Amino acid sequence: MKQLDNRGIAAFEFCLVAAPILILIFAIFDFSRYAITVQSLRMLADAGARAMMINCYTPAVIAGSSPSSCTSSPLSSTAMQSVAPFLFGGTAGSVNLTVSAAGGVLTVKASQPGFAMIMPIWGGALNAPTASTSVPY
Amino acid sequence: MRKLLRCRRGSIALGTVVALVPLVGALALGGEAASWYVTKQNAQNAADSAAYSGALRLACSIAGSGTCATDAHSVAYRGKEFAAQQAYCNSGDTAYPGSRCSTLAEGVSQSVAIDIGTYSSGTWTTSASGSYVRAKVQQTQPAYLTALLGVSTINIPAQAIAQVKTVFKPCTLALTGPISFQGSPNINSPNCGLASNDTANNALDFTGGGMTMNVGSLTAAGGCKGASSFCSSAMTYQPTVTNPFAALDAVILPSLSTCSGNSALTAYSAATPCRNDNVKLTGNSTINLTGGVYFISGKLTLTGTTAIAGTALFVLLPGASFDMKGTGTINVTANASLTAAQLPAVLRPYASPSSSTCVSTNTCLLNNMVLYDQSNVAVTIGGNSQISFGGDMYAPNAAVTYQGNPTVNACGQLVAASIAFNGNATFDNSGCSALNAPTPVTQSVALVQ
Repeated sequence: MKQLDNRGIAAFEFCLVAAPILILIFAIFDFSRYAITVQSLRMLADAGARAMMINCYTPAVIAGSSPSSCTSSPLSSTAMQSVAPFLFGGTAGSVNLTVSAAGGVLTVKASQPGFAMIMPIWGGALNAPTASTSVPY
Repeated sequence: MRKLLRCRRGSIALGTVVALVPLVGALALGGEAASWYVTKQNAQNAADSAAYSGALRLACSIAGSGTCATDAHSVAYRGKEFAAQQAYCNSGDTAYPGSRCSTLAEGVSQSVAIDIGTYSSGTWTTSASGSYVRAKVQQTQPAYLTALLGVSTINIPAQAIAQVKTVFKPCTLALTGPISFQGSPNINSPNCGLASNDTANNALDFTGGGMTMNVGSLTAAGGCKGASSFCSSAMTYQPTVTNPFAALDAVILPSLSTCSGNSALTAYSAATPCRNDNVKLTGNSTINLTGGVYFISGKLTLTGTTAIAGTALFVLLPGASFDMKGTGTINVTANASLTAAQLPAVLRPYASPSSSTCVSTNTCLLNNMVLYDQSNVAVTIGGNSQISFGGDMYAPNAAVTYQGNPTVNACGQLVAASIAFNGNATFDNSGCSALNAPTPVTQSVALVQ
């Protein structure tokens, strides 16, 4: 048997590692996109909580009454866009900012339901991220 | 050399290096963008504290002389001071107490601007007479890796606007202690408010829930304790209210000799510059006072059915008190036209029209005053005390209690160390829309944007 030469070994090796390395590279890109989205949502929730403190922290709220008038989005869409520009302009769709009050805590929750990871390897676990900030009353 | 070029070992490593450039680059871009968010958050904190502290200083200016006369620094100074404490300064302007501004990195600059103006439905108008303070904080920094994407500088702005709200002027002010409500007092004072400068969490203290409250405003430097149906309308943790009569505290009265005899009240005059010391009134008749000024020391005792009525100004010297032994009453209203001859020289500047220095109600402190109590002995009005005063009452050291079932229709202010409303007191000054005396200003400072 003729001795096999080692030509083409690089191509063979590349075939072996190409798939994992490309998956890894795109996974990092994908995850970075997720991270900046979550960071933006946190920023938005914080800004929403600040607006809530300013507009809804009335003496009645401080005294422990439920802030019934503070259940709509505390920021206008323009304000939301200036706070977290990375959430807008993409294809991930609308951004929601909601407020709920229960048990002495006002929770401001920012979410982007249309956000989905591009790579299928994540499953659905990281889709539609949310971030929330709680303010006691 | 040729051998090296032909060698294929390590080519994967080379490929990895090439791939790592965009990979690490993307990570760094994400890191840089995240740092903008952090900077933005810090800038917002700086703007918030700058606007709030600037507005607190502005509240002092609006309130006028009093507690803030000693603050030599401007609204802009106070705003920038607090921005500096959050590490945001104008270039070279770093010498503030507690400043955390340090030398910025190459190419990074910051700006802090404090303005006074008005703010309405999203529009800011700069105006020196406004009641809003706007703080604009900005950090400009060069784009680092994002420069590759064609971005040269990054501006990170933050803005906050705080408002000074003037609420109802209080006609009842507790200087150091709480305003407490017990039983079922009926407080009816829709044209002015109740305020306490006490910073404790029970500055407004409701015991039980039988009160009827109809007040212009209910404010406190501290908190509110008791039924939330009352506390919910209270404005708590507000700036303290300037004591409208504070100027009187600086007056040092001459030491007065004792009036001759201690069975009748003697009004102050050039001929009788004296104090009524331990006077005991026993005649079982009503003594009608006609606008005099009476300095009281020791115990003023009324026995039997002896009563005091008419108009007068009672000045209770330190340690003085009322002692009602019988069923008589004290029912006195203020003399609005005191003359210079009725007062010691040191008090004349505070009574109109006797003095040319007393040109406005802010300085004519004695014009509508019926009781100036320097004593720290507690005073009880109404109920079993049978004491009632119409006009301003200033008792900076005494606890004043409204007790029993009195209906107090005093058109005036009550400024005391602490105030308690007990029993079924009806405190009504609804007919007094224009108080003819200096009125303290209550303010509230809050961020609005």
